[in-house]
Amino acid sequence: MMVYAKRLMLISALGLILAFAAQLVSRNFYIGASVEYASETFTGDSLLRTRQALLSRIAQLESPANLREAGNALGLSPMPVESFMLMEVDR
Amino acid sequence: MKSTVTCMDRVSARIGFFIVITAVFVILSAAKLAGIQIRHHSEYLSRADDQQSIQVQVEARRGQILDRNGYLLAGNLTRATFTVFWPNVPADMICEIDSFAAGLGCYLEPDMPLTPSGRNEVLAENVPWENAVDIIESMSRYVDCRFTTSRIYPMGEVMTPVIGTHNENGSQGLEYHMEEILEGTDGLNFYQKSAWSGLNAIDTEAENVVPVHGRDIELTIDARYQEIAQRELAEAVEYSGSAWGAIVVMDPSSGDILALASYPVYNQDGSLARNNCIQSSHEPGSVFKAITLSAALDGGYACLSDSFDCTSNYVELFGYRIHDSHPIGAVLSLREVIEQSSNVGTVEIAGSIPDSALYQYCADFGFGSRTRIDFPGEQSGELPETGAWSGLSKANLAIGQEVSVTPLQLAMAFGAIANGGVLNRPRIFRATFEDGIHRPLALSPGRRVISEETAAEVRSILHSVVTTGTGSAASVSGVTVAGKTGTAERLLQGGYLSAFAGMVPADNPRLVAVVVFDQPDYELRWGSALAAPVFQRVVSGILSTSPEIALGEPAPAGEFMASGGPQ
Repeated sequence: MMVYAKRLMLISALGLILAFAAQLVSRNFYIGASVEYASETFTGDSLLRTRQALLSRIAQLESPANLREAGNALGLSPMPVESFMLMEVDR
Repeated sequence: MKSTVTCMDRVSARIGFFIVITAVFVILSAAKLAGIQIRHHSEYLSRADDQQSIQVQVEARRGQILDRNGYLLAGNLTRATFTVFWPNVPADMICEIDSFAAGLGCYLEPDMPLTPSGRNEVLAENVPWENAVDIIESMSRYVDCRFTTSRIYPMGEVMTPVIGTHNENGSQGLEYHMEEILEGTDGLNFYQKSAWSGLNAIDTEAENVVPVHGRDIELTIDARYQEIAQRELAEAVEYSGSAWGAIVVMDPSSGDILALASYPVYNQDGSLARNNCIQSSHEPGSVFKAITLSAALDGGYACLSDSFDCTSNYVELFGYRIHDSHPIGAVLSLREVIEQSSNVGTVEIAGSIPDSALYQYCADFGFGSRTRIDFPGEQSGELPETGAWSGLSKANLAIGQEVSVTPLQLAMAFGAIANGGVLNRPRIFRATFEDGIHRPLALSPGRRVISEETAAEVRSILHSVVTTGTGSAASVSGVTVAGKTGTAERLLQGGYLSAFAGMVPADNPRLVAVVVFDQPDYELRWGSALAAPVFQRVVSGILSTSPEIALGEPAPAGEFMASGGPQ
């Protein structure tokens, strides 16, 4: 009787240890994934904000007023329409 | 022997006592644990969550506004502000703050003494996001970083009359009108903070809310045309001393609005001024003669071979005289009446049109009712019904008095003449973007107001106005122009209104523009003196950026491109 009780207790203890270890591992995976998720969220948000900042900067540089000023500074004033012609092109 | 037993008994008693004490302690601990884990489980869980969990609002991105070519008209910019908490900085950490401040480079506040003071100091403001992200990595724990996202308009005030503004005080103009589309819904993330490492992790079991970003909008506006129109308008309003000015540029085939320039942009108190293209109405003056002409020709009340006696330079109706603005003193053909902008001749033309027919044509052209453009605060103008007409009303209506219109209504009516007689609904929204997918908005079908033949005849006469009549200042080198000058008396406000409405190329118009100046200096009151030259400069500028408007469609068989350069 005592032998069976001893075995049962050993098996229970071993099961408990295994369950604890499994929970520890899964908890670590979970925390790792959560940290990764937070990091990726920040990176995604950061990239989105950077993209918007760069788009704004490009738009400022390419604004029609800027291009006109740059063209004037280079001596490239707008041409009258009769200076244009339609030409066939090979692509 | 007796003493040994006594000693063992004492040891046993002590062990027993120890076991009992331990048992009591274990039972009490177990009871306490049971109380924590079972009875007060939810309470302690929420307290632990409160300590470990941080709720962070995830800002939804406001939708961007783009022009018809994909150029960014309104975007978002995130900037950072770095603040040092001097009262918390220990003496041995001051050098760390110094080195961090050095890393801020050009963004460091000028004249900022890097010495501990009893208060918090702003180290740097308006640091762009892409720079701030790098700086954060070396940030001291005694420095705080706050981000603010603001709206940015790369073209500055040029687009303000169209888009309006959006800032912390609220939205105006289209920014306000399209709030539901542009504004997203903020999200919420539950972060778990580690006590020893300071690392943040998102609690995936919590009810995190994903932010819904605002949708991007594509307008029909062409940023290049808007810049040209707004620049020319601002210069002309300042030069002419006008109270306000407006320029509408549109595509007659679709009703797409290409430019909506309005000046002044702001009122004197700094508030956003109304967009005069849509939110101001005025007497159109002689520009309206094109509508009278269309009604007369389309209804068969007049034809090109008719002639009109303008020798007296005035016409008398019910004791009132309506004069020509300049002495003509001749018998004029229908074409010449419009070319010379004769009030007398136009009143005679209108005399042949029944009241109800003239009213109906004006109403069909869209006057007296809103165009239903997707823009806030549109004015409808006024077109009195025939029942409210006095004896002079028809004559006044024919020459563009006793009626008020918006520059947009004029543009749409001239658009109908330009495209062969179909009045389109103006469109300013071209498409939206949903999850990056371009979703074009459908065009509303137009309705026919005059026949194609009438439209062609009117265009031909309007072309003569520019080649030989009052609109010669509107002629553009390299392209045929059709249009009509207008000078109206402002009955309520006093002064005059100078206007020009035109289209290019005259034979197959692809662009319609209306130019209006309210109450310019007296010597510049004529449409031919102020509005027509501005039309010429605006259209020249547009054609120099888009010569295909003047050159026509490329032949479908081959690939063509516009080539510029010395010929």
